[in-house]
Amino acid sequence: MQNWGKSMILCLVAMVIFGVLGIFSAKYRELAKEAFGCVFKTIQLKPCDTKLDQRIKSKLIAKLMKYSPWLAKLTYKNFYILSWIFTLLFFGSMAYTAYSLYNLAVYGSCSPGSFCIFNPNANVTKDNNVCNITGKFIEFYGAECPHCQKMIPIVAQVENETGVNFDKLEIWHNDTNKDIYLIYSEYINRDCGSLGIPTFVALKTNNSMCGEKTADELKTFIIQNG
Amino acid sequence: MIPDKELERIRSDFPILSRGIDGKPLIYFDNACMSLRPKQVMQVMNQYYEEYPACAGRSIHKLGKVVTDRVAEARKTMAKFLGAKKVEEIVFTRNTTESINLISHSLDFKRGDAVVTSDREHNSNLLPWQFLSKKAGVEHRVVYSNDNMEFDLERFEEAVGKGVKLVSLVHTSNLDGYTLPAREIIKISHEHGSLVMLDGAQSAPHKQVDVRRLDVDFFALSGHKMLGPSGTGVLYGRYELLEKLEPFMLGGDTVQSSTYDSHVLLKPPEKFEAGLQNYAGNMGLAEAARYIEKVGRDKIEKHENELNKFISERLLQIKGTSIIGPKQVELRGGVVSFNIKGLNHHDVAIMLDESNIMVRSGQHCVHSWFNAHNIPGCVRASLYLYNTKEESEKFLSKVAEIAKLG
Repeated sequence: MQNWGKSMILCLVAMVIFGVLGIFSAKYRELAKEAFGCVFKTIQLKPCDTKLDQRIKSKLIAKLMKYSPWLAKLTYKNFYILSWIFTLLFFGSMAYTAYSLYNLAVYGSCSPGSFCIFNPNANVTKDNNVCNITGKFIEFYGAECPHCQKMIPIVAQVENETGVNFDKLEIWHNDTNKDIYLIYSEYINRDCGSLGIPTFVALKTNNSMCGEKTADELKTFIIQNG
Repeated sequence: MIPDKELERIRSDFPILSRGIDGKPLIYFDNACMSLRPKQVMQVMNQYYEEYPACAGRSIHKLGKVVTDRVAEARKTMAKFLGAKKVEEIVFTRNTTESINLISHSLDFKRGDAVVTSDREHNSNLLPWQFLSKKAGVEHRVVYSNDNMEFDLERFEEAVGKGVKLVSLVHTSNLDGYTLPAREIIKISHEHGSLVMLDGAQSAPHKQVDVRRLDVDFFALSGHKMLGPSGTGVLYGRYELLEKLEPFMLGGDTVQSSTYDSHVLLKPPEKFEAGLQNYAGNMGLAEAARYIEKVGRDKIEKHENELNKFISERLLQIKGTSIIGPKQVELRGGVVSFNIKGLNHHDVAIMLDESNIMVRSGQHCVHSWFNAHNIPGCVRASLYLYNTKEESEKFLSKVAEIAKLG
């Protein structure tokens, strides 16, 4: 059972690593296939008779011996403990990578509040990160307003990139929405003066912004008031 | 030892030794499994395919005649190589395994007969008897070695009593290179009315074998362990015995004639060589035998044992190593089977392979011995005529390095 576990763990790691390397080289494809066969057999509680695990181990030790006999001995003696640690770290980092990729796809940043390897040039800091947004936002618009219509794709883009959704309230034909607009009119007049719809209001700060805006302006508004 | 100049010339006949692997030299110490081949053997085989790729003994056209002559010549060479009285005593087979199986199937075994083997037989000389035991009720007796892993003649005399039809023994063991006292064994066996077969896969390539002087009844060898092609082998049998044996396989070229319900078999060796034969292989095998004879088997045996002496002495100085087999290196021919304490035998072999040193690891098809002694396996370095002292030094230095891991 102990040998089964040893064989399984090495072949599992080998399958993933050689599988990735196999994208670039046929040599690794063969090894990935062998590792897959080995994993498949061990799943069925059959012995992996290709000795792939033993070959990986001994080849690695032989290479290490050239540089440091002491390190080679240590690795040889504790090889399976090390491979378990390595495996756990490996799968842990795989899970974290998947989580980061999810963040990147949804929020535009893989690692909220810190450096992101997938978009290293992005200037995302803790202070201006969309992932920290907790407030709600409203967009007041008029059904026939041309400026509002121009903003539709821009608002959609910003919503997609930030994950923040505006409550869109029509005020030219809907009296209930108009009454809501009037509640915020004091803040809107303060921030926009004579400018009308589209009007964007941050409920957390009661700050507002009016007229046609670029996506970046809208994102900054969200970050500063969310 | 073979003199340096001659050794250099010999090595130049083996293309892989000068080519190496990926441009790096290789040290080939896996000769008990498969020997390398000199270019002379390959040339003879190519010649068959290029110049006369036809049938022997059947077609009367020009090419057929050449092949028939060459095969007859090959048989003659192998008869001379083994010291056979008659050319007809040489049966071409695929390998030692087939030769032994031919006897186990063709000899007229009856319920109650017994077969005697040693305790370190290759599976090829063990499984056929286990099968026969199950199928035909033939008793299989094993003679255990003494504490120094030498053949125990006293135990053998006890075992070879009444009812032993055949004594079938490994002449030289692939486990540890030990060669058993064949002449005494054969003498005792014959006194008890038993036939003797020797598995000569590891002896014929490395030492002088004269079947008549040994007075052995059957002798089997493989081509691939004696510089010859894979898929070739020989069964020597005393002619009067071969005449009495029924063939193991029947088919083309084994009969004089046949009707719808009967046939008349040819005489030995043809009656045992059913179907189209490996002509190129048999010619290659004969060329290998000529090559070995040219160097001299006594010289080869001495060379290998000198190297073994050099390796064994130094190997035992490396901490944690132990050698399998008799203590006296003189009894272990050109085979060094060893283990390093704390290290797995396969790991050692793979690490040696990383330095292009090829050895074999495992139980070497002698599972029965390893299982009986509760040893998982060992590393085996087996030598041949082209191996050198420098190679042995490199091997030892690498083993010493690996042993530090233990």
